[in-house]
Amino acid sequence: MDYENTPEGALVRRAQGGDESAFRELVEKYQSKVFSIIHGIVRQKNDVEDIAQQVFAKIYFSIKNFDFRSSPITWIYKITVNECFDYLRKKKVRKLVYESDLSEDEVRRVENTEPATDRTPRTDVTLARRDYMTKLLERVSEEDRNLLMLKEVEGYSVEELADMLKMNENTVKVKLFRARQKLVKASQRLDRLPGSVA
Amino acid sequence: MHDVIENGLEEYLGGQVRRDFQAHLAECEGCRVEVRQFEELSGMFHALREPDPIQPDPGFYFRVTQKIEAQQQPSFWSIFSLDAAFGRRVAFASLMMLALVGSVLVSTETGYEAPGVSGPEEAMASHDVSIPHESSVDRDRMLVTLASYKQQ
Repeated sequence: MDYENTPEGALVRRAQGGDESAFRELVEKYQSKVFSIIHGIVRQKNDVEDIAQQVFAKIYFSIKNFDFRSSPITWIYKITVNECFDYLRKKKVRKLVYESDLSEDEVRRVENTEPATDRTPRTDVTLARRDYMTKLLERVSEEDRNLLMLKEVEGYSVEELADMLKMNENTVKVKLFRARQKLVKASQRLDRLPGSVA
Repeated sequence: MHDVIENGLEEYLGGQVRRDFQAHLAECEGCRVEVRQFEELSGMFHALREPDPIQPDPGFYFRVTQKIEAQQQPSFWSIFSLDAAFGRRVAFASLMMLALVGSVLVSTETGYEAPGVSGPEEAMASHDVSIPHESSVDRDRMLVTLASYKQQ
């Protein structure tokens, strides 16, 4: 697909040419999406805006290098996810969950990802799972992480991903399969760590 | 992991059941274990989906532009940063200057001679015996003068 000749592509082209109003349109068009992605990963409402500002600043400074090899939304998504993981790396946010709401396997996983000294009551299963997943995703490559996020979190089909990433469907399937295998291995390594920090 | 599983995994995780996929799972314990792990992790991705969409506060674009401006302002340290071509020129000029100063110093050093002493006779003549001297110091000076003469 030729992304340069789509309405989004045209908008990016104008912004690349230094048109400030086009950049403003771009921000307004994608800000909700960017906020959603950030909130989905980070879950710290207070920090979502800061991260979003940084995402759009990065877009502003690197838009001239965007070469339309993927769709603008895929590019923005990648920048956003990377910014979230940078944030998490810096902040090392930890959340607590109720142990009783977890299955045995999940309890085991979460216990292994919590430090031994930090056994205070937990408040949210989803938060524990999210922390566990972000820890796993930090352990795979940027490409694998983005592909898995696009498929599993954003819900794109293999066909849509192939179209967005300019790959054939079989390549996408193979890449997804390998990314999943790496994630399983990362999970096994993480579970083996005694009292690793979440 | 067998090909049939690798090929059909995405459909399976998406809820589509392929007969050959299911048949293989029924007879292959290794694939069954691995697919279970994939399923488990796939399910955990749901935790990363955003439950309640949040919207940016009014004036978000203005704050973005402020952020951009803040990042555009040159920092104090950027005064010292050089572009690559200019940096190379400065480094080359410094090296040339260093070589020039070095060669001048070397040529000055080799041209140095003990002032006013051209031979032993002159050295002997310059030695005024009427002035009282400490004998050991005098002897050392004389030996140095004679040694430098021999080297010439």
